[in-house]
Amino acid sequence: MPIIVNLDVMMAKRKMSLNELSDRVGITLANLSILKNNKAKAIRFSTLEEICRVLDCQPADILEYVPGDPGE
Amino acid sequence: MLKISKRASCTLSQILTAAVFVLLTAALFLLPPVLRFIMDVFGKPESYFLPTLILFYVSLPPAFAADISLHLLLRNVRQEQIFTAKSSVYLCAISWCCMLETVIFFVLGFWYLTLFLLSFAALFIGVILRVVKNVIEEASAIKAENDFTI
Repeated sequence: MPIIVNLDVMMAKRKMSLNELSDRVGITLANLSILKNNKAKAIRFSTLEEICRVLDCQPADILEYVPGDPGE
Repeated sequence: MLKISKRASCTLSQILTAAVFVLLTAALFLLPPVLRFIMDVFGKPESYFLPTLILFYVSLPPAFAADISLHLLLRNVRQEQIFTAKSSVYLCAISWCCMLETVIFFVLGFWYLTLFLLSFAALFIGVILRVVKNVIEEASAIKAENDFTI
């Protein structure tokens, strides 16, 4: 998929575990894992906003566009 | 109008599917005498018996396959896993079984004209199921998108 989620990079910079991020953002660990492992198909603006607020970063810091096949 | 719960409705469907399976199994053994009786009643010549019997026996495997697919589909419904790829596969299988029955009854129609109607009915059901399969496929894609929206 062309959109890559670099959540683990920002989590490492802020020294935050997945559990802590899940608690502070308010989404389940399972959903956060889906996001972190690039299995998510979409993300709500409200979720993105909350992640950026907790990690003190911009959406571009955690979302990256990599050109790929249109069918992916 | 009698209102029944979803679970009861599913159970009723499973009972009916099992009943059809029992009837089809009975047909395996009872087809020759029943067919003989029907041919005597309608005064059909003896030369019709063997080809008719063969074609009816040929129609049984697709009927069994469709019934088993229905049972597996109902099992998915019970487990609340209706919008999945497997459901589409089962519906596709039932649709193709109906198409096969269409061909078999069309051939039989040259001996028994009323079976042309049965052939058309099987074709119509097969087409309906094909469209339902397309709808379920789209619904599965929408559900997957929804499930993986964080």
